[in-house]
Amino acid sequence: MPIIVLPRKIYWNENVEDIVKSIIDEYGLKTILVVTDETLSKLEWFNNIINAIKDAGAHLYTYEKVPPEPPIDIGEKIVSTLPGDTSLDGIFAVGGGSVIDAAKSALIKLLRPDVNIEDVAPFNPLGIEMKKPLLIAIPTTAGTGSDVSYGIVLTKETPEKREKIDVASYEVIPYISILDPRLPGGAPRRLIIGAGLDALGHALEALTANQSNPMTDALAEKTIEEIMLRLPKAIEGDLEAMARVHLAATMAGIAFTNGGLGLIHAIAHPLGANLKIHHGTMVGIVTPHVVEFNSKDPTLKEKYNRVKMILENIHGWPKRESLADHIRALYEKIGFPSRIRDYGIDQEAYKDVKGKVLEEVFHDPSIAFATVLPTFEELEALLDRLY
Amino acid sequence: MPSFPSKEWAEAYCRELNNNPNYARSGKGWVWPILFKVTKLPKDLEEKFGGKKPGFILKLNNGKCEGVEWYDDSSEADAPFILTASFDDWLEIITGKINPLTAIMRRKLVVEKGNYATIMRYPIAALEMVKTAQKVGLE
Repeated sequence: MPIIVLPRKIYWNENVEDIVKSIIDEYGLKTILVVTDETLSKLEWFNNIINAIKDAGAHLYTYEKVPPEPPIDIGEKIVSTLPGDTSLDGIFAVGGGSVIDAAKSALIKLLRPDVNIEDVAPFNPLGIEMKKPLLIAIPTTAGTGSDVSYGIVLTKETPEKREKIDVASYEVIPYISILDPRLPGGAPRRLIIGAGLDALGHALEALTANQSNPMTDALAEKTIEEIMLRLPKAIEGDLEAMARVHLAATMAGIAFTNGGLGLIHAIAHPLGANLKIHHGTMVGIVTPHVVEFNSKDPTLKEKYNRVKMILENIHGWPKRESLADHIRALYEKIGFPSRIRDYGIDQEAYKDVKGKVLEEVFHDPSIAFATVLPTFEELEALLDRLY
Repeated sequence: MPSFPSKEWAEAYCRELNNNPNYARSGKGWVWPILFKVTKLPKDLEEKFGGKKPGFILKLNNGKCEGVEWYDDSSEADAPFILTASFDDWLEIITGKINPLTAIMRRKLVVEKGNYATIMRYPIAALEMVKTAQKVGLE
């Protein structure tokens, strides 16, 4: 039987300062650590959150130095800034996936200092559930789903190589997620698009993953519908559309935590790292090609066709050959360049990277959840089509 | 067809792994021996092994199986990675009823020793190992 895991509360389309105050009161949070990055720490709304915590009378510590792609020891780094006798009641992770993952690492380090972060696994109970500090996520991008997911992605660097380490524990799923659309809505247009396409990729993967189940299907289908319909307006500054995309990203996070990812992410992880293309953008490039590849499986094709039917029969979108064609039409509408050549990558350079990535795709943890596995030849042809 | 679990089965499995080009490719980079332990045996096998838990080490190295060590009592064995499952759960994995990584997630297949993140980086190798085990068959 599948295990289905969820956060305790999701506040949606709310004013974050008000919710922060009410949570501090409701849960008796007297000492709080806020984790964020340097860029966000300088923004006005971030200071408003800090002021809300201070107004609520909580004692406050902040860590404002989470880098993009946080290192394997980020949990230790965060905890080392706290006085030795600190007893935290809450950790507020204010940021994107990197910040939330760093806060999850700090939570483990605080409650289980004996555990090596690389040994954290879903099947190894940590015994930290329902214990303070409570982890509260305030996602500032509408895409990663990290506010409701069990994963932690960290970067390990040795003199020989630099690698991404994916670990996971059901016990680090944030207790509460607060979704205020003003936060992701204030991001640059290209980041909103990248994050939105990352969420779309999460939902399409969860829908077709080998661990999908009726609950993840329902969440994934609705997420795809929401993003296809609302992302164009969200990037134009429509706050109501942004709120819907924000919630959709969180729904996709629940869907992939419980259903799994697949080939889109297995390709996007190594290809994005090697080409230095933003993760969400890379996911967007790969998505329609994997949807076409997966469609050779009748069960997956039927799942895609259900979404296509919703778009065409309920929302009156023009009939197209496949769901992949609808996704390409969305890209045209939002002005998303969808080929690798569009990002200034030279064809010869791409050939070199392709050879390396071919092997790495088959070592990416996401591929374990792919229902249809490509052969090396099929994968090579797919990578050629991306250029 | 050798019976499972037995030294003969483990040796046939090792040979078949070396005949699988997909394993040779997907297992590149994996350089650690794995100890496979079998628990909760059916009555006849429990009698055969005198109540002990049998197991075997596959010496896996860069897509090749370089040998087997068989143990009637696997508690005497050690390896960098130790995977343990009940006899029935091994059968489910070997017959393809459950994906080995799913079995790990559901704690049917327990990683007694070794790094989870490392295992998760070899999903195709794990699936090829299962396909190969199916070729060896079960008595």
